[in-house]
Amino acid sequence: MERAILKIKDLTKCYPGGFTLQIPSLEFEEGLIYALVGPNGAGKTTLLNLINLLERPDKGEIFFREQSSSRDDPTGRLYILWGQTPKRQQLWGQTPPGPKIKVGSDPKELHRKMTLVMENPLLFKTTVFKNIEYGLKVRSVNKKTRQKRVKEMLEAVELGGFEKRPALSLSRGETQRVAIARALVLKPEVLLLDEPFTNIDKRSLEVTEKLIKEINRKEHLTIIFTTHDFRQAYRLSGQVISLLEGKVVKGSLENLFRGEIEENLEGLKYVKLSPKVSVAVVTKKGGEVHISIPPEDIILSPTQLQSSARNSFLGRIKKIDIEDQTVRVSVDIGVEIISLITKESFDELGLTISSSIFITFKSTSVMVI
Amino acid sequence: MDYIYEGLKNALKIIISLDPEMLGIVFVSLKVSTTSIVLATLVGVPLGFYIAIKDFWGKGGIVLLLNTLMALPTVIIGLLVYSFISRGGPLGSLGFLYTPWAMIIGQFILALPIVSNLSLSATQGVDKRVEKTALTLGADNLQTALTILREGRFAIFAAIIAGFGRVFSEVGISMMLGGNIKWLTRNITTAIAFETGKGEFSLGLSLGIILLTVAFSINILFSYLQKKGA
Repeated sequence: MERAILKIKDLTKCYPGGFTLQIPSLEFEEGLIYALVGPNGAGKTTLLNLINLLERPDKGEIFFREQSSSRDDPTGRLYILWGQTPKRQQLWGQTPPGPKIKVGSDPKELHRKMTLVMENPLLFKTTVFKNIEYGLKVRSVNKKTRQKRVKEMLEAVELGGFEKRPALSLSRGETQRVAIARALVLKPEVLLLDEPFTNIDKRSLEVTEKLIKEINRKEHLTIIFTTHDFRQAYRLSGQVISLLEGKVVKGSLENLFRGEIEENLEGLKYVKLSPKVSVAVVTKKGGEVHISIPPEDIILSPTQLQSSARNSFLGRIKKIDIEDQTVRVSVDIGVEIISLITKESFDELGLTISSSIFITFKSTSVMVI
Repeated sequence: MDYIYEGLKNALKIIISLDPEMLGIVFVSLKVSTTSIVLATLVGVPLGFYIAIKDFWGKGGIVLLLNTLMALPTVIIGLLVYSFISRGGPLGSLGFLYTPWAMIIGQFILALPIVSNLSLSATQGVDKRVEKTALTLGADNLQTALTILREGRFAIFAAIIAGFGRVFSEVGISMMLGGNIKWLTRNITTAIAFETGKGEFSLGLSLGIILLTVAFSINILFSYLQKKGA
């Protein structure tokens, strides 16, 4: 990756409870929006905390690249956020010019290049203005500039006129917007958002989504956010990274289920998702596993298909999400399964909420993790 | 009953007429207690904060010691300080005994465990996310520490007020180390004990009313700050 702003290498973080985050390699390109997706306990927050220097890894390295004057110059200044002092040659697979390399840089300086907005963010016990102003004040930005930038940010999050409001009197959604404004006012190079859309009202959700897209487009800001809502992840980001039990897994983790592998008399393996739903799988694994069914591999049909696919279920349509060129259809077959189809197919099938539909997918499509 | 009624009437007269002796006594009390609490705040708040945020060997023992010292009798402090600053003591040459400084030292020792222990609790009561938020917004260690203190400011003020209330109303230290010298070290509590002892019930009562008023005001402020900080 030519313009990686963050690079993770052999990262390990262990917790006493047995959870381990293990990422052999991961890169984030500058100016893109990334969604870290996964169920609770997948390691999303841990990864953000490690990137933001709030936690120290047990092993491995995280690199931050400060853009040099030439945008495509891969030898721009490098900072190692965490990790042991490596040999210079290891940094980017070549020997970068000596003076530009800074190892174990000042954490304060690095903190100031990235800002994290926590899940359930905390606002200080003061006014909205002073909350947003905080980061600028600790950077000794002059008062006039502070006032101008805070006002601009409040307008951007559609909270103009909220300056003097006590921060603790705000709603959950307003609090989230102030926290995002407080982060964005600092003009960071990387914005980290931990579950920014959890438990907020529809209005705040729309404002936040719009703001993220706009800031990314206008400021070329790299944004990494966590969510467990795949629809949202795809709506906002072209780069979806799936995390499961502390590991990055290939492909989307939509239609993720947990169950035990069982074997019938014919030797076919399946995973029971509910008393009436058993999904045929192809795997050598046994015991408790996660399975994921890629939505694009699920075929919808009004009648049962005669095909080689081992999995076919009758269900009822529960939700329809129309996107740019595709439609996500949630079908209740005893568990909820999402199918991704084209708009043309959607129109041809004439799908409506509550209508009956067959879903079909091959056992080889099912990812066993 | 007449005796109490007459005493109360005369006490109010003394207060209203702003009797110079009474004012002098009140001034000594305020001067000594304010100085000792300022010193105890300067040492106790950072100490309590440090103990709260740092994990180190023996931390539990120090917290236990501070808790025990909160209940230290004033006469014991008086005795301890006396042994150091009396003519034959190691610091006798400084000539502190029977001066306001001796009272300040004693009251400082009395207030320090109260201020530091309550500051420790106040810091521990601050939301853990404050530190993380400050750091992620680019604050350095000192700025982060000040932010934590600012978030716990109401509880810390309450700690200081509790310390002030304690030193303002103590008698043992003032009597043993100040010596109750008129216009110099005679404060409200020593004067009450002295004047009542020699039969000047009205002056004692007037000072008692002032002491109670101050204590009552402190408690109101204390409750207000505790509620605001909650």
